[in-house]
Amino acid sequence: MAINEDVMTIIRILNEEGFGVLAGDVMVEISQGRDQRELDEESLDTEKADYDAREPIAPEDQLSAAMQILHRRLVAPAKALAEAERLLGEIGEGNPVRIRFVDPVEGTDRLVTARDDNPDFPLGRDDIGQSDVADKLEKLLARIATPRAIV
Amino acid sequence: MALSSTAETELRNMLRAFRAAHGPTAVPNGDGKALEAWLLVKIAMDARRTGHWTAELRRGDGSPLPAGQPFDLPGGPSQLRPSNPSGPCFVHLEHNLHGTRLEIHGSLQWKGRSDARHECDVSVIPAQIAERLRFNGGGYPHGLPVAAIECKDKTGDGVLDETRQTLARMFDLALITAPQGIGECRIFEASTNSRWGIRNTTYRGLYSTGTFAIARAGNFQPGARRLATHYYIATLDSIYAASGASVGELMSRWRMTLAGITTF
Repeated sequence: MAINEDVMTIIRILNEEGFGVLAGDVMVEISQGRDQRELDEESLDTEKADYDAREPIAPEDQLSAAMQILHRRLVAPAKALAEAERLLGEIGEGNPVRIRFVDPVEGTDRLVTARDDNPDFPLGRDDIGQSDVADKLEKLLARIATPRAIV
Repeated sequence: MALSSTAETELRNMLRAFRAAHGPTAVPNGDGKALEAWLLVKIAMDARRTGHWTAELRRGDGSPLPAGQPFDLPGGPSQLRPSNPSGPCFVHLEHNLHGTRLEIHGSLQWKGRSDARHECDVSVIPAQIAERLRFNGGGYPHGLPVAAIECKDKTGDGVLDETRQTLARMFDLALITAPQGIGECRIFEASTNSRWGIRNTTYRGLYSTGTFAIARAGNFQPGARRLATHYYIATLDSIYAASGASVGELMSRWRMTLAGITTF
């Protein structure tokens, strides 16, 4: 089933803003559709459990499906990371602890390295244990998923 | 119909802000780094909450993480680095009664029987093995981890081939036969021939001891779930769901692993 114009716009924006992998994933997932089966333990042993049963997503449902994908791929991980920083604070019996992803050999912060490689790369993390940016994105995705965002 | 220009502009601005806030490791590329960090910390916290384990944040040389310092996780696959305070951090667990000590690491590579390296997104290693490696120039642990969690930051359905990959990794890591020159064990490190745990003669028997899981933002196809279930690999779908059902299942398995750790 063809991807509708709104979702194609979202895909184009994702690609242009440096989220090319996510743009590709949205296109694939909306095109392939979803496996809507709810198989219980018994039916898992039947032959039908083995075939690919993804069904296309109807055009009117595609935008909200795309927003769900963005939520799971952007908002939820960012909130989870913030929670992890708060939990590390609890383990350390102190304030939330910043989590950094470093080059395993050099020990350099990959976020800062990205800035070094490209001076235009923006840098402005939330406070440790906070997810303000993700919270704002979550609200925006919810608004876009509603018809009011469309003129 | 088209998205309003206002919505388009807002989305662009928000995506730029998001990239600025979270950088290349949080921008989705399939690595699932945020998911990895989250589950690593969740199982550490859960061990602490049992009241039987003490959890401590440690630096790359094994010393406690000083207050105010960041908790650095490897941004890619990594061996256990030689002792160095600026190396990747980990969580150290110690049982309050029998003194068993474990370490929880992110992106640690383990070596299999074939000598191939296998990255485990989150893995739990006996502290005595990790320390031998750390203080003998670094390297790769051999064998089947106490716990290993595969993190898939994907919303699509997990297919059978993906589970086959996880199972192939576990197949290579399982020391069903005693490693030559080492003797029977579950885990060893080669520089000092240190061993930990007991050998199991069957794959399923070995996999039934420990916590093994694939965590996905999305769902699993039925065939993938069936294969994983047979080999005691938990299929944790919709891992971010507010219900917390998949996280709860992981913690349940993890607590059983911790409770039985002296029998490993």
